[in-house]
Amino acid sequence: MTMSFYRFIEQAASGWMKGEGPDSDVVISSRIRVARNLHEYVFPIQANHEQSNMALREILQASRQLDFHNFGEFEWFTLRELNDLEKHLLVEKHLISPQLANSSRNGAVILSDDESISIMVNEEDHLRIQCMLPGLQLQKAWDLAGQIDDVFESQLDYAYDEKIGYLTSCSTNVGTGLRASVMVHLPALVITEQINSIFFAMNQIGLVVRGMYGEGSDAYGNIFQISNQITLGKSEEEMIHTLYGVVNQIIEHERTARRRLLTESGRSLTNLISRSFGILSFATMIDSKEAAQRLSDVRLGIDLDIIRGVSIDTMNELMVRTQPAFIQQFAGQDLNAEDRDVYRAKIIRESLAPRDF
Amino acid sequence: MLCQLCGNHPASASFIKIVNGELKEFHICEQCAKKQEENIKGISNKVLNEQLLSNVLEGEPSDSPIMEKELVRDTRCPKCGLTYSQFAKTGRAGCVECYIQFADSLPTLLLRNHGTATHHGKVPKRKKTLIRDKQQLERLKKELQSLIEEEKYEQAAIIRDQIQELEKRVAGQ
Repeated sequence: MTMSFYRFIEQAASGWMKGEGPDSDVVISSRIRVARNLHEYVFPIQANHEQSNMALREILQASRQLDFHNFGEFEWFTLRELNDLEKHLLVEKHLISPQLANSSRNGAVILSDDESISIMVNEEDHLRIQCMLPGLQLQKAWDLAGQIDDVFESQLDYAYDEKIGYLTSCSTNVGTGLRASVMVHLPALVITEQINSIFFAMNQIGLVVRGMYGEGSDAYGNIFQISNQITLGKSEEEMIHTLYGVVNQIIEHERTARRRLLTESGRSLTNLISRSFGILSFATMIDSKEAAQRLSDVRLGIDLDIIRGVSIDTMNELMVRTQPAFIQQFAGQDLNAEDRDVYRAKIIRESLAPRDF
Repeated sequence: MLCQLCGNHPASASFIKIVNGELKEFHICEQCAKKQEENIKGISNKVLNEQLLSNVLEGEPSDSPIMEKELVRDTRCPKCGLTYSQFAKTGRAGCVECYIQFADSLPTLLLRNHGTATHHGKVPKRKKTLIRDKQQLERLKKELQSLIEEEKYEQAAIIRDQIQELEKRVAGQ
């Protein structure tokens, strides 16, 4: 294992966690993913060891010859080199998917040094190019992913059909192979119970809402991931534009709800936020669900200027560092659920403690 | 919705069968789904052995297992080995060849997932070059023809060389 790998797992902070992106009071990050396959090889799920290995070799060979310098320095790792903890750290940082970590054959990941670009090899498709940026920056993330796609395309023979577009393992991704998603923090819409009708409306127009860790995960801590469902029949720009428009409306709704909460029940809101800050600052045990909820309260407090001296970056980092694999790494040993609650509380306490005394 | 086969239990699975060459979807209960799955397994093996099953039955599903009476075309992708029934069940292709082998059912599947079956997005640059090269080739061939007709052989030779060059490139792509 190269030294550089440890840089990716020792620090929880990724580029997308810098809370300085546009609309970062509501939008945590924007992500673009494009799915691509090589024409010649059997797709990863159906491929045997030899077939997936050939695809992996061709992709890695191409990536060595290609010029990615415009996008930063890159490192690649095969999943076989990593132990379970290391894989899960990458999952918790959103750099790889649970599927790549748990069930890929000859899987690999190519990471940019600032972690904004992550290219998964032999996940469900041969290539999954992902770009993740802080705040609402869908277009920029698409530009970046599109450019990387172009560089790969200059060297690799993609599976593409003139009529139905890029051919993917799952027919739900055929066409553009594009998944555009934004991670949003919507505490006020949850408190004011508007969230369900908003999600219902989003489903009607072909958008999907999930918990922060993607498919099948609960929406802990009022953080949701909104993405396009349909990948065929529209251009990438149109799809991104639609999502962008909807997210902008949600941002406005959330801001309005926050203002209303402040005016109509400012005292109890301040109390709620301050109590959560107190608990996070002093608790010696906390489970993941409570931590997520209290962190959401404090994040809202920072955005509303009720809590000062703690940055949004710290909140983003804690979101990742309070996940099981990061806690285990912090503790340096295997933990049971109760131990995890103890270490989780410790990590949060230390992050929130005033540094000046 | 109640199971469309037995009508006794709530439907929890969907089942696709071919009626007159068209894919039709039925909603069925878990018990009936299990029965169908067993039948499909039996029949797929039979298809592989006999290559063809000419046991056609049309019309509405009855309470007897439909697969027994029906024509099943369980083709297998020659490249990756995925069967049509696996493809129809999961909506997942195993390779590029699957998209050709199972092309008949593709519009239905894509319409269900996306509401359309035509791509309007990005085109890989190399494919763009290929399409442009092919068009250029057509133009040059026409030009060559008229140059020969006009007996301008020197110019025709230049065009001929250009055509050969372009043909090599297209073949390479």
